[in-house]
Amino acid sequence: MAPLLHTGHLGKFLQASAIHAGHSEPALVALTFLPVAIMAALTALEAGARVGLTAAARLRDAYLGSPPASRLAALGLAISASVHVAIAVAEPHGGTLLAVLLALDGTALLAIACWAAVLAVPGWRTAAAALLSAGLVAYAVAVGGGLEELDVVGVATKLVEVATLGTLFAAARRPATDGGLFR
Amino acid sequence: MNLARIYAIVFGVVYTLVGLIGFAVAPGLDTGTLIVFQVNALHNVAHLAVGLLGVVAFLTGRNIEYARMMAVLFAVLTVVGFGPQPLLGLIPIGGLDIPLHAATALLAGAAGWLYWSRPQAKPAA
Repeated sequence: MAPLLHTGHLGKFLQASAIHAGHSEPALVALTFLPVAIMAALTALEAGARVGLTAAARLRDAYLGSPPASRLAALGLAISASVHVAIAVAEPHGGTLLAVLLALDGTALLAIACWAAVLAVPGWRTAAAALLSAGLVAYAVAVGGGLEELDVVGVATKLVEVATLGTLFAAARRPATDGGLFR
Repeated sequence: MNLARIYAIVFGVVYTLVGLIGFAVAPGLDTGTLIVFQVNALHNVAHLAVGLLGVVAFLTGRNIEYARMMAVLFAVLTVVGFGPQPLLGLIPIGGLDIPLHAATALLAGAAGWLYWSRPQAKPAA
């Protein structure tokens, strides 16, 4: 049957990626459910605050007081964390050690994302910058040393991490001004 | 926190992107695989429509109406997903679509009916 839309090179690239998605599939599934998880977490926070849980109210207020750049950085960290944890759970080619390292890295990234979004405590930018930089260097070394093949999901994740590093500086330079997008 | 507003932009953007990318892997009525989800052109059009509606709702302030519409629509789609697939011989919405549609409906319900910010009434002059 003839396609309704001709997507050209992009289509061929994505079709090839979809076939290639083999070992990246868990990461892509995790990314699909990430918005659902974020929305569920915010709903739970709001629900907790409305029923009078002090901790939930405090976290919600901290979230509402955080600058948009910090929330964007938190989103970037959460994306990276999801990919790392999903790949770790799916048992990567590198074996158990690599799985443990990826799981630890992902958990730490997720913790920093939460720190950035709902804790009014400074210091998260330094931790995030250190962890993201370490991850980027490790990936470059692994690819350069032939331990890992370049794939679409890996490269895209690293691009998100580079962009997140950029947002960290923006978050540091611009204090909270208005409500932002996700108020 | 205005959950309906957050819901509209988050799900609006995500479904719009999913709809657009879906056309790259399944541009016709034949079923293709997007990650682990079965999609075809009609499914992509549906994703694109609900996604763009979300973005429009966010921009026009009709967030609550959008969230409520999504809750009802996706609750129905979740139930229908358990039936014979593809739906009406046209759109595949079974398998992993079911938990995704269910989560979309539940969160939309929470955002649309339970937790949303009422507009602040202006004090009388």
